[in-house]
Amino acid sequence: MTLRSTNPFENLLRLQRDLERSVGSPILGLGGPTAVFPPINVFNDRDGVVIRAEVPGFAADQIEISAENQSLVLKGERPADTHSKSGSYHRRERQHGSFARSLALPHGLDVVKASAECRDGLLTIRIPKSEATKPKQIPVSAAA
Amino acid sequence: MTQELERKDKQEVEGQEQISPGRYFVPAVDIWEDEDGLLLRLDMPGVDPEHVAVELNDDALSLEGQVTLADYEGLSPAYTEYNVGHFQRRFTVPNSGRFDRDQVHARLTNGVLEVTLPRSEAAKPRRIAVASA
Repeated sequence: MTLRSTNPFENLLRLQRDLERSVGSPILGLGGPTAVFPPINVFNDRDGVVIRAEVPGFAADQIEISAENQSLVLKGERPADTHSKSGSYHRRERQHGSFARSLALPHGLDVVKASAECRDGLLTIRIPKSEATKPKQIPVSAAA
Repeated sequence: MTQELERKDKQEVEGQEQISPGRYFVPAVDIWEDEDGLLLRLDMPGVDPEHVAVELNDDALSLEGQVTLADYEGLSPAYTEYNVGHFQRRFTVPNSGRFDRDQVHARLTNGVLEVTLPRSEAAKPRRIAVASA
């Protein structure tokens, strides 16, 4: 989506509405919402596909991404917090542990050129379209 | 042996109306207390350190994080498992005079907000020597 408006509330509303509309559209071999961690959103942009996952508490080096045979595997581990002093938890809602999730990639993506970044607990993976699927101009030569 | 993470659906803030429209989500929290004070950790993925507000007014502790919308520019959603919105949570800290409100400290790392409320010197536990008769 293009966020042209200068009103940040309008932008947030539009984003939330757009996200609501595409709940569960089956692509990437994802058959609708499942309980697999982490939650993932998939976007299209000009260059290809952008996959975003919420992984709070994970540093970039605690996440491992591998691509093989048109599938993408995400793995990670968030260790439990340790405390040096004795005390107690009033509330404990945050989870710790490990995850592994795999996604089947559609054809036409160049996995070799994929890039990933983890910032503020948000993992972003960008996979560009392969050269073969990009629109191309075919020159027409005049017959001699 | 590590336990496997489960995906939990994000919960929307309910029961209090916001001035501005849009959804707010409730960040998951851990609250730990030891002799040094209170330590809160809240999951706020997508919030950068510049867009967090932590306030302690009397007994009311309010925590808010704004997500960065610029990250979504030029993207059109194809498949969605979670929605995006700001985070907000409020707690009542009973007897908050136990804590040194000038020393409340907050920091955000990898989308986790960590807030410490150190116990005030007067409220720290101390050992009382028992004199023998």
